[in-house]
Amino acid sequence: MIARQHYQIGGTVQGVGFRPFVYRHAIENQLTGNVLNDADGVFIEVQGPLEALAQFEQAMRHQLPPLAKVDRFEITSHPVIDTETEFSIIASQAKQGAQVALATDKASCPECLAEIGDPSSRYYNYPFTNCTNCGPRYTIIRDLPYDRPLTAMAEFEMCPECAKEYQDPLNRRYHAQPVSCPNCGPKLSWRSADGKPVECKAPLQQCIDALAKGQVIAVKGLGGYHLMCDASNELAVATLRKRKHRPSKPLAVMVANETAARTLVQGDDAEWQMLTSQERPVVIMRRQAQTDNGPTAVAANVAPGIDRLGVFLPYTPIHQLLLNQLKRPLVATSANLSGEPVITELEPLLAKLGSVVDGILDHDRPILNPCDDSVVQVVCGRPQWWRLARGIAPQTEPLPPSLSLSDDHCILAVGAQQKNRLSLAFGSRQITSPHIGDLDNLATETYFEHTLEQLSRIYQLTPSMVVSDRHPGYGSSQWAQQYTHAKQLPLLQVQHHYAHLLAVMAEHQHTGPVLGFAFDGTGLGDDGSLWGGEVLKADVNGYERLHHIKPFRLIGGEQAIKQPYRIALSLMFEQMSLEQVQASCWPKRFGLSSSQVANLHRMWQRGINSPYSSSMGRLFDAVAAWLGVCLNSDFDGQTGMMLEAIAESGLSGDQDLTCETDVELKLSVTVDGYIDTHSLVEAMINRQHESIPALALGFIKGIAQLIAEIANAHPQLPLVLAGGVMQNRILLEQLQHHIDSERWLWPMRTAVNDSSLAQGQLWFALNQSQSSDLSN
Amino acid sequence: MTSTPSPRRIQLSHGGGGVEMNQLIQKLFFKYLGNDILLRDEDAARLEMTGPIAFTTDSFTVSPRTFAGGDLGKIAIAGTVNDLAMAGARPQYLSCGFIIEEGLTFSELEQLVKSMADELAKSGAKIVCGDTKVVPKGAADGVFINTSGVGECLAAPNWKSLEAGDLILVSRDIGRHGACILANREGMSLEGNLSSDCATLWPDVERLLNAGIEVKAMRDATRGGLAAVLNEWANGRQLGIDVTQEQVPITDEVQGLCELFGFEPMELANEGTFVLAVPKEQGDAALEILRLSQPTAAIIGTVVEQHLGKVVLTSPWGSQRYLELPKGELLPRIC
Ligand SMILES: [Fe+3]
Ligand SMILES: [Mg+2]
Ligand SMILES: [Zn+2]
Ligand SMILES: [Zn+2]
Repeated sequence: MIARQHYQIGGTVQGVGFRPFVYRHAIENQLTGNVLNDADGVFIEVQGPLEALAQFEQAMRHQLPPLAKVDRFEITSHPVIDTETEFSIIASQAKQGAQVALATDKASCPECLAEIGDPSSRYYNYPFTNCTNCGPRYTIIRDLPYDRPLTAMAEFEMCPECAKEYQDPLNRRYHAQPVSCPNCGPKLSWRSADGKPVECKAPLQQCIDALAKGQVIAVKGLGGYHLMCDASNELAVATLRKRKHRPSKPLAVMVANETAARTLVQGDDAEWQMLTSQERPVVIMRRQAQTDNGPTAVAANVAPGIDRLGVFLPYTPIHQLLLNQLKRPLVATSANLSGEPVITELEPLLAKLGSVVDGILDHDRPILNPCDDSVVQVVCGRPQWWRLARGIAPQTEPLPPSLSLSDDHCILAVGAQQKNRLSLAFGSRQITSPHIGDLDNLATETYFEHTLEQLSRIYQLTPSMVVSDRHPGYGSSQWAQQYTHAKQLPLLQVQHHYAHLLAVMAEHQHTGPVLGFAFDGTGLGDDGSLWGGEVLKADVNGYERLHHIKPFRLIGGEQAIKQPYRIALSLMFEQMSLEQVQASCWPKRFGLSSSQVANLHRMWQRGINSPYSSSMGRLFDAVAAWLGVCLNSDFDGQTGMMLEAIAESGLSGDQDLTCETDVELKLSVTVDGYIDTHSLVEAMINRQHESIPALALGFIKGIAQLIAEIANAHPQLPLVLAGGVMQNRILLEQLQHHIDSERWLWPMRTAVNDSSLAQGQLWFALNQSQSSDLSN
Repeated sequence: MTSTPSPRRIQLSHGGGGVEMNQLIQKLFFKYLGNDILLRDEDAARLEMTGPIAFTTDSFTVSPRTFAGGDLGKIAIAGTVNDLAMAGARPQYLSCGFIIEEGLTFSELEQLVKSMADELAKSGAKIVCGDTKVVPKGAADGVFINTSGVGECLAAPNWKSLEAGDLILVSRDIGRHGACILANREGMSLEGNLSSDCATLWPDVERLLNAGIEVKAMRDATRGGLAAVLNEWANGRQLGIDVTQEQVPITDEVQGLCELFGFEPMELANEGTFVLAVPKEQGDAALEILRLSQPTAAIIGTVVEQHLGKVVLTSPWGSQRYLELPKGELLPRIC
């Protein structure tokens, strides 16, 4: 019996070889009909014997192309068309309102890599090769549908050979929009530091030579330029740090392949899988004990004081060719001014980093959408994202049907101040941008607006409601205020730490009550103080603040965050007189004169620019100061990372982890619900002979015990752990000893830091708008 | 045991209009501030003036009343004289009203009046009328001074004339007064010399005008500091102002105090520092004149046609951020 079926398939289905995949299976099963890309995804009509149709459906569901991700799959039956005799691919139609997911950039596939290494291939050593299974997507898209004229490849006309491959449904490059070859595609060029092109036959070789000599080179890649230098060359790394004014923040390292990575870092299967995945994120892994200082090792100043190393593998042919020849690890850090978005064009590169680089490996394929490298660590066998960008974002997630929005409704969530990303809900989808950055400078604020414009244009969206943080000083909150005021739109504000929890709940589409631990830096609380050590009982409608760290002053506001010793002093002033502090060893250890201590005490006493905070992140700062690990913090999360590194050294060997220091360093909940730091402070300042690693470890284990105790008091509630402090691997590993990990809502696609705040804000708004009239 | 004689203090009767008050006027105010108009001692001062005049008033309270680099008396004169100078007017005649809390010592009052006299000498302005009230203890804090002033206009600077390309200058290193008062009031112990910039600005303004500098806009950066002035101009004119952070003169003492407190030096008050805008061609000439009295004077920025209505600060590393209007509370934004 012959039947006819229509398929509407949504998700990441364009630009990933979906139509040729459909074509192949239709031909294989001798079906007739057609397939086309439309604004909602892929639309298929197939006709044939029931058995063949079943085979076909089986393939559609279970043998998807590597990069495809389906989130909608609808089949309907239709009358048979007797006259139909073949199966065809129909050219793309103009869009109406796109519902399809923007595809993300993916690392070169094994076939493409094999070709660039094969002297007989026409792609031999070609730095821009790609196919439907790999290559650039988001970074070259101007608009949907994803077709060559709407990409950065529009200006490159295909040569006959490329056109042939492009048009052959059975070829790996069928409709791979960026397809090109040495004859017709983009080209590398070598430039001196002032941007002038240097005439040469082999730009790549020039770059390799310069890197080998210890120079700092800007290399244009997929989502922007990198600053690169030889990671084994301490002097080169020091030069890069000095020129970029980046004294100590760890630098990511790119290595040629897994084998090379194994000489630098160690990890379990999940970590290696992550490293070699096609997303190619920077993976924060445990450093291998250094055996030698040769050209395969990493210089000490790449990640000073930290026992982890961020490593990643080449993800474009350019990078692969570079590393194949160099045979040494390369520092590869985004080319930008500290805190600004990654640079994608030559002119701003010269203006901003002209004095940083010694040369530029450039190319002429424009980068339309900047995209930084993604950063992840694997904890307890699960990915924990620190930065969601290249390969991962834009992140498209389906909304539960009950929360789908009507056509004229679109909710925009603008996220936090730091690690900003924005998120939009429309129709039955939610899309979250790649990492934008810290909104404390003009360039990032402009990039924020560019990203919003870009996504709005592609999906033809006009926000009808905006959600932001409550902090009036956040760039995102201010933008939201002005935007909603100008456009007369409703503005919702969601408390920072509640939004942290909501982000994780959103990933699990969880709406009911949870026991949430938001252990974080500082975010504005409902009482005007700065929260960050919060235990909240929350659902999508609101929360109850069950416990929080007993508030202490941040002496000098933001200054206290940059100088952790101020927080240590503040906590000491809570329980010691100025004279006692002066008489102790601490002023000297903090490098402070007695008048400096007196001044800080005065500020503390009189509350001069010294707001109260209940932040757990700030408690880490204080402990780092007491342990002499970090007195001045140079980058976000530094004290946590350094304490973790020190604690890690306490964990090594067969040492019994339940040493006695644990008891002393315990944080406990008082009768009035505070998390009391008194005994912790006491233990820290009065310690006689405990080792620094034992104390650091004891502190982290104390937090794990605290979480476990509170969790045990609410056995019926699922757990959400969020906030920057939850990036502490030891803390989570310790917690696993105490709490059944089944109770835990693990964030695997959202970050626990501020970069997923927009998703939390959105989850709140979606659930509110459902219970009110907003969606009608 | 010997008892030190208690200092003489102002009584309520000193404001009563009788003998005591007359004594105060004669022995203190006339003695230090006397001039032909004031000494006529009439109900109102009669003044001869021609052409457009500028007229301003301000009331002064400061705690502490005496600080490194000045006192309340000095500020009370400099403040009003500077407002006239900033309007392009030669300060000429001032009125002066005292509200004194019962119990203020004579010696302190005398010191304040002496300071006023010294400061008047710098611009040549005169106090031509005055008033004194004494209020019961607790009804005022020590002493408040109000001064009003008029002056003849020699120029008419107005931010409305700002254009893209104009240069922005600051007459000296910023933030001294705010930093000094803050340190004093909060009882901070400081290393180095931190003194207020409190000063009369007319001599500088006069030199600029005499040299033919076209001062397009001029403002003393008092409350809200440099940030407030620049934002007012950028926002009022709907043009952008670009400031190069490195060029903004700040002493180590002020910088150090700001780092201690976590404050922005560009938001701190000044009492003898002004911001001016001149046409591009006159930048160097104006700078040269300003440096005659203050070697720290500097060209700090430019009026531009980008980011309209906003002030943008470029850091030494090239990144840019908005310099915003000072806000009440500075809550950390770092998560
Ligand atoms: Fe946060
Ligand atoms: Mg005034
Ligand atoms: Zn490929
Ligand atoms: Zn070609």
